[in-house]
Amino acid sequence: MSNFGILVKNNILVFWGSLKRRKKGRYAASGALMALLLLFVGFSLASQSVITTTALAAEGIPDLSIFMSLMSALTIGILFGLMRAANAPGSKDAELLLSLPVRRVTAVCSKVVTQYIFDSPLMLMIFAPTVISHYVLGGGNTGTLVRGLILTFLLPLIPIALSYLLGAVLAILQEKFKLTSIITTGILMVLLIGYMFVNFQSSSILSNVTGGGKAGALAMIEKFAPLSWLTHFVLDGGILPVIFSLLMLLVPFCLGIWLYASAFGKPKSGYRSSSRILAFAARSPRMALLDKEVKRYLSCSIYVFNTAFGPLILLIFAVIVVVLGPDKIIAGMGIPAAELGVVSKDLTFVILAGVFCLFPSMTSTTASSISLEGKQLWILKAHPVNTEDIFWSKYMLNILLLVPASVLASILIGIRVQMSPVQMAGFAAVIGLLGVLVSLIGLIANLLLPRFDWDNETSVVKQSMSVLMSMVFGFAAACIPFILYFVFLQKFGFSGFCVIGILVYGILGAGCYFFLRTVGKKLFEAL
Amino acid sequence: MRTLSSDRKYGLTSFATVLYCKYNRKMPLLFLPLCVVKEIYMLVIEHLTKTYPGGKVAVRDLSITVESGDLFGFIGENGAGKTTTIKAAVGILPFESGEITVHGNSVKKDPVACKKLIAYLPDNPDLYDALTGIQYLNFISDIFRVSKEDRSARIGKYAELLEMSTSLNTPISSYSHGMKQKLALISAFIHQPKLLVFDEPFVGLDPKAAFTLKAIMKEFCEQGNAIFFSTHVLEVAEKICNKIAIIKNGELIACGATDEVRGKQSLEEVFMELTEHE
Repeated sequence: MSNFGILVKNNILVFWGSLKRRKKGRYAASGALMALLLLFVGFSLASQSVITTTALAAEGIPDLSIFMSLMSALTIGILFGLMRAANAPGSKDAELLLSLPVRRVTAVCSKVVTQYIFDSPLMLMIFAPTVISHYVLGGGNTGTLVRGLILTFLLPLIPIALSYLLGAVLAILQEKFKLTSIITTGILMVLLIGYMFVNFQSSSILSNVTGGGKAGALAMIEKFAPLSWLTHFVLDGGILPVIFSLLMLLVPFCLGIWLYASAFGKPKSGYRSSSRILAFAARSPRMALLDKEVKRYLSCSIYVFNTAFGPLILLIFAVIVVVLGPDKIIAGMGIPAAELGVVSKDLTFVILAGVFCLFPSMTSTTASSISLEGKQLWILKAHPVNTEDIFWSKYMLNILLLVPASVLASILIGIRVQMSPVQMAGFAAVIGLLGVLVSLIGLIANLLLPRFDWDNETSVVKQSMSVLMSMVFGFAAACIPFILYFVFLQKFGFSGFCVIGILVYGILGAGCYFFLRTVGKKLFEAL
Repeated sequence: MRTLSSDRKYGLTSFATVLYCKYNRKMPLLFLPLCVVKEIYMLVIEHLTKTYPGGKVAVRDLSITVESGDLFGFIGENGAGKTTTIKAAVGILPFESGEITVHGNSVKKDPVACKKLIAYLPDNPDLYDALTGIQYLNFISDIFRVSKEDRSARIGKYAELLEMSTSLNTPISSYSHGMKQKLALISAFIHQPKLLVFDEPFVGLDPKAAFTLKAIMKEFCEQGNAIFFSTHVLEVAEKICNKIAIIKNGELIACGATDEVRGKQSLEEVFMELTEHE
């Protein structure tokens, strides 16, 4: 086997080994779960492609399915690229590889190809079914099929290029500025929100196009310049779209690889301060722990990425409600009564509370905060720190993120929909208490399912079981007052909802707090 | 196990420690000074046994006593159980049988009280990369409730000695292994501990820093404190330690005053002899 083949094989073995390193009993289960998940995702995406193509073919615009599928692939690809860039792509084994009798270009290419191997299945699952169903159901020709399949194999270059390019920019920033992590997080957040906004706009244009027939669809496709090149690459194969598409895919990819290769194996030089003035500030152990927790949080872009969205979207949504008014929001949810003006004020408040409870229920910094201690856990274990103080610092971070945003959103909504001060306080209390409850649930989930054998923070923040468990339980807890309200308490109106919400979240929160102080403490000490 | 004169202390130590711990606050005042003077050792490890999940016995029935003023070297092959013993002693690792006391406080019953008296330095100090050096030192000072004035003086002193003053405003993420080691060392002295527990403290240090550390360690013990540390550098152990323990496969195979352990041979020869033949 050539050196290149050996290196690619080794990269895959390393990945496989990182999965195997987890507890033996869980390994088979997690392997089976992963396979099932892949099958499920593959099947869902394929079914969706067939359904969309069939529907669009019935409308006489099957070509639109190619465009829509490309848009989904690009969305996922760009998200992947952004997320990966947040971790400043590099190779921990670069020095080892360069010390071996292997050419630098071979080592770099092996890394890129391995990344391609990991990225391509998803793109294959998103785009290939559409290309095939367009050929079978939408009357596509062989040329469209072939070009579509070629593009399927070129699409994974986008996340790779984006992560390498953005990663290189972020690495430069790391050398120049002290607060790089915060800058990195800020840049990525702006990029992501910007991208989400553009994507949202495109989706709304897309939803209005089906009535315009083929001409309307083609006119709409032309509005999205880079995407239209790729669409025409598949559909027509014209010389210009082919050239533009290849340039769009290959130029950033080559540039990204060049930057990655030039940084490969070079020692990372972080920011160095020349100041000799030392600041000494004495605080209580609790505040010191909280300060450490905040700094840890802000230093990890992927952590911020994954958890700051809840409060951020909460506020954005509050502003949207203020601007558009609650009736449009409720009508947008497909509740026809809203259009007729028969939705009572109380029901409007409850529905809004329901929507706002979704955001805190899915945001928990605590769900991965114990795991993120990683190899630094010894610091907390070897020093005279009370376990309660450690827990406090961890759930307080989540509370600090969620509760002020919840209160602010409640005030905005309350003023807009003309709630009384008591109703406004009830609204804020329900959402705020849910935020507290979710923080505690996340911490319990992480204590029960900690994970310290990680190499990359992404695997903890995005892929750990505790995060998933926390989201499921947080969502379930969020639903309880609504179920109780709609089943038993409708006659008491919004006040009844607030009382039951405060009671349910309060009791559950107290239970979780008691659990943390007893069982949780023992679990932490046994880590 | 090699029979040494200091072994005679174990029986008395065990009895007196139990007595002291049991009657710590209830003992008649008249007897208390006697017990305190005679029996409070810095670190007492009695019959420690630690088994990891899967059944591997890392440490078996290990007993060690570190007295005030001791510079106690703990040596053994890789995987012999040194780090396990150290982690158990500082309250990081739970153990199933035996007892460990730090200055009379049980590690099992009152870990926080023990940790207030100890400073621990692991073999590979992973520190908070998100913080700068000074932020980390402030964090540790806050945990030990060290006043602003005291922390300023102590950090200044040890940072100067270990040549870290110019790097403390720099993020830890940009530190080398040796710099992290030095920062962890500075943090170890912030609260003026009575007992230092170091796991391979010389790894990663440059010759000058290693020399400085040896001087600091000696000075620390001369002030009536104690150090218990593991090392693979037998020359260092032989030169600076007044007591040495050798561990093999989780069991203590020699323990006592350095001169008694090595006899007329070098420590290296004794170590090779013991680890190959016992």
